[in-house]
Amino acid sequence: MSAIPVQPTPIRRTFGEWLRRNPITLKEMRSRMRGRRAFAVLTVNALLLGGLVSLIYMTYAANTQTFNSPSNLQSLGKLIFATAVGMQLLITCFTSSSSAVGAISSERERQTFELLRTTLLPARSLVLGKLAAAVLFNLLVILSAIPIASLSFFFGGVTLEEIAIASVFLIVTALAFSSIGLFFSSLLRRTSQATAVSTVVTLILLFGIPVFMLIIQGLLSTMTYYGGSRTGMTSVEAELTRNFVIWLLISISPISAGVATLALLLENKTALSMTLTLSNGTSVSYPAPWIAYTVVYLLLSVLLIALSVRAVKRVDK
Amino acid sequence: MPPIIEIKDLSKKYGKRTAVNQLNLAVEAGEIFGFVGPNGAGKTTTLRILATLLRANGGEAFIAGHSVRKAPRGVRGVIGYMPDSFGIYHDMRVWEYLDFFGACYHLREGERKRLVNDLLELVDMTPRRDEMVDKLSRGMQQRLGLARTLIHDPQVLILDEPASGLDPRARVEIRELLVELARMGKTVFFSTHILADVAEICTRVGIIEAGRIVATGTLDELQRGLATQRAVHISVLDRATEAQEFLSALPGVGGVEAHVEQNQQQRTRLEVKFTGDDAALSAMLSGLTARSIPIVHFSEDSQNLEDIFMQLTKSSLD
Repeated sequence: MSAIPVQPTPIRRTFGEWLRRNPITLKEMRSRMRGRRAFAVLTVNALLLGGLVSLIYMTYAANTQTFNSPSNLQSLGKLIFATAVGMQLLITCFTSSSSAVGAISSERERQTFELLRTTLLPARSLVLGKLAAAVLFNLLVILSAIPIASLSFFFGGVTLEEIAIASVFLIVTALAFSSIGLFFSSLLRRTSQATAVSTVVTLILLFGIPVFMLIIQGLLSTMTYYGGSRTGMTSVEAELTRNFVIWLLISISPISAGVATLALLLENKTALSMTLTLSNGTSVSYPAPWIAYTVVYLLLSVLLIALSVRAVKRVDK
Repeated sequence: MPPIIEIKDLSKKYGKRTAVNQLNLAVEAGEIFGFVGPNGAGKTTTLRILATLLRANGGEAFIAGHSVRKAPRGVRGVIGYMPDSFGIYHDMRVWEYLDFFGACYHLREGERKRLVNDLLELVDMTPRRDEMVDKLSRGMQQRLGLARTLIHDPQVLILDEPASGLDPRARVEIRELLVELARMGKTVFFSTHILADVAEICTRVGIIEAGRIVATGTLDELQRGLATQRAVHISVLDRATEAQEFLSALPGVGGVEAHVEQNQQQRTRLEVKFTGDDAALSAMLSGLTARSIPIVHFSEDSQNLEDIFMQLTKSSLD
């Protein structure tokens, strides 16, 4: 065997090149596609979406009026598309966090983590490789739903803008929830612990925040009613504060952000901003919830990735 | 030339318990160094510090000039580390396993392909190239693990109990492989409980107890260093009393016991307690032959590694 000089890592690479050269991504993708799990997830996803869309279609088809008017057909198209995207959003939240939750902790449990740590693979490449594999797998799940969601195109009513927003929404969700799973996987020693914590966080983000938002809305309405008498704010200021807090809460839950964006598209016919009218008649505009959602979840992903790299890099003390 | 592994005053504490206590050690390039000690003596802790997996509380260690504390990446480039129990990926083939770790060392695809073939040949696993890793026997997995440590052609191999849990045949095969690697110029630093392996293949031995090195050297050096009194056995056909008187008068002789052997020849066996060096021992034999005493056997008792180990690590049992 002749001596092989260890190649220094090239500094600049395209993302595609980096992805092809990252051994972790390749290994993870190979392992995922080799097992039965990937096939099972794709099949269950297609069955769930297909079943739901069929149900909607059959309900509409039972009404003979549906096929008489183009606007009824467009409504059917919109409903199929919104249902498919909404369902895919829920599935993506859970599959993303669960597909990344064993990324680091399972290496520890399998006793392969130390072997990786003594190679020249930087902690950053290990974390990003695991994340890329999880996100790519979830994108595959999302892609597998396209044939079902595209049934809506037969009926019309779905705009290019809506397709673009839905795509951004799903991709950001896949990235963010994979980052959440990965973060807990790097932080906790056992996969079972990481799974439990990650599931709780996912449930809080999905359902806890909308419930919290309703409670806060009730409390803030009271505050607005009393105006400045107790808080020292004028009623307009109190109303502005309430609206901002509610807008923020709407934007940080995938469900509320998704529903609010859908309502915005249906009612206001605009996808970029949300206008709220105060009791004195003044209109206040906020960025559309999906924009805030994208920004917040991208920032959260970056933070969680950085923390995961730090946890992986840590030398035992 | 500076030693390839240099450990200076290395200390590691877990809470109040001291695992490694001001440990000093130097290993020269090309050596097969056996690191021996009872359970909990600090062997694995030392190896994990050298492999940059654990941070020491004090002291320093260098491998091929790289500090494990300040230049862990440099250290990782020159070492191949195999832990005591290491995991394997269940869904990988043998060649994929080596190829994956080659990629983790940034080796190019073409080089990896060639290296994987070379390494499989070295560890005699070419026919198992396409088998799933988890279907291999423990011995085979250990050999594959060893091949993995070699994928980036490291100068130093740090192996924690490489032969533990293996059957006798697999143990011999691993032993032969380590000798072959040393022949290829690698420095092998390994911990073990199996003293026979150490005696068989190590160029030097370090005995650690309670986090401290209690002895280092070749097996001969350790034997000589520990022997306070040598035991010499002499068998004579006749004139045993004369031989006993001559031996008792020699300087360094602490006592001579005579035993008549219960066989047809009726030889007398003399057991001599002696503290002299090899020259004095040779003079003893010359003196006996000069007096024409009919000697049929002359030998010295030698301590084996087990005796040395027991003697040096006695305090841990006290």
